[in-house]
This record gives sequence, C-alpha cells and structure tokens, in this order.
Amino acid sequence: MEATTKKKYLVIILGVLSFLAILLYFSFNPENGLLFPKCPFYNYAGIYCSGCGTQRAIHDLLHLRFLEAFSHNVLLFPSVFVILQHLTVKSGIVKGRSLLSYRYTPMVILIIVLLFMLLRNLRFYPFEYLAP
Amino acid sequence: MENNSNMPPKPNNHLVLAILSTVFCCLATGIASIIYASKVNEAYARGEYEEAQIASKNAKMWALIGAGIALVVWIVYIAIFGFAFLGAMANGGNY
Repeated sequence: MEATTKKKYLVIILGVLSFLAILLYFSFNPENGLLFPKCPFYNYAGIYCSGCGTQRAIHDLLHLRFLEAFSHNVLLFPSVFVILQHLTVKSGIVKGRSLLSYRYTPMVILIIVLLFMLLRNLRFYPFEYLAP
Repeated sequence: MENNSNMPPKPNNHLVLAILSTVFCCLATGIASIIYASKVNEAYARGEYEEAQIASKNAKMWALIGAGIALVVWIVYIAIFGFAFLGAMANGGNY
C-alpha cells in the first residue's frame, strides 16, 4: 500500500513536470535564446553526443515539422517507435513480441548509438547531415 | 532459456529507461545502462540468475542516475535562466 501511494505521487509529479516541459518546448524554440541548457558534452568537449539535438527535435515535433525534427536527431524517431512498440505489446494492446525482449537487442542498440555518435561528428558529406 | 524450465523469469533489464536516458540526455550513464542491460540478458542465458539480478539493479541505477542528474540540472537551469529570460522579455519586448 505504501509503495503504491509513493508510486502514485511520483507519477503525478512526473506528469505535471512533463506537461510543463511540453508547454515550454512548444512555446520557445531552443535554437534561439538561452532558455534551455546546452548539452554539457558539446559545451566542454565539442563533441556531438547521441542526445544532441533532441530538444530542438522536440520543439519541431510539437509544431509538426517532422523533417526538421528528423534532421536534428535521427535517432529520436526509431527510439520512440521501439519504446511505443514495447509498451503497447506489454500492455496487451498489440499482439506480438517486444523488440526489446530479444537477447541481443541491448548490444545492437549499443552499437547503433556508438556508431551514430561517431558518424555525426564527421564534418563531411554525407555524414554532416547527421549532426544536430 | 528453454533448457532451464526451473529458472525464475528473466529480471527486467530496464532497456526502456536506458534508451530514454541515452537519446534524451546523458550519454555516459545511458551507455552504462545499456551495457548492464546486455549483461542481464547474457547472464540469464548462461543460467546465472543471481548475476542477472545484480546487472538488472545496476542497469536501473545508472539509467536513473542519468535521468536524475539531467532533471536537476534542467530544473535549476530553467529556474535561473528562465526567470532572467522572462524578465528580459517583460522589459524589452524582444530578446
């Protein structure tokens, strides 16, 4: 009983926070202005990481500019798809097997993330399109 | 998996948290979490249930550390710069 009420509060707090965050990301473009934090990894090391561009992508996504969102972070779409597929299968909405339940999925994801990070830091054609 | 009919179910490898952590914020902790998720699967496939459980705990821990740090940094940043930003907007009109 105690644990479930704790979980309830956590869900409520996270829900309110994400609603505020969505409102914020809808109203302001992270591309101009200082409102949103920059990736510390990029700030100090000058390297684009796998999460760079996600804030801009979220802003574009909320304005239904899918192509721009895609250009800011290519990995956002596949990761959202995979997570949605996992959640729908787990909750019984969709039949089938979760893509995340296979034995080698974590390794494949690790390789994709590391490759993505390497390639998006190459500043020449065609990899420059992967940069945020 | 099939040859161990008396094995308990596989511990959660928290891969969803790991992906969220990696793509939405924190590279280092996200990758640590993905590696532990992989360890959960491998240990379980080898039949080492205890080890899989430990790896599961680590996967969750690293994903949550990343998310927690990101959340705190984000809130503090928005709190500091957000108010300055809103103030500038209220004063100047354009920023």
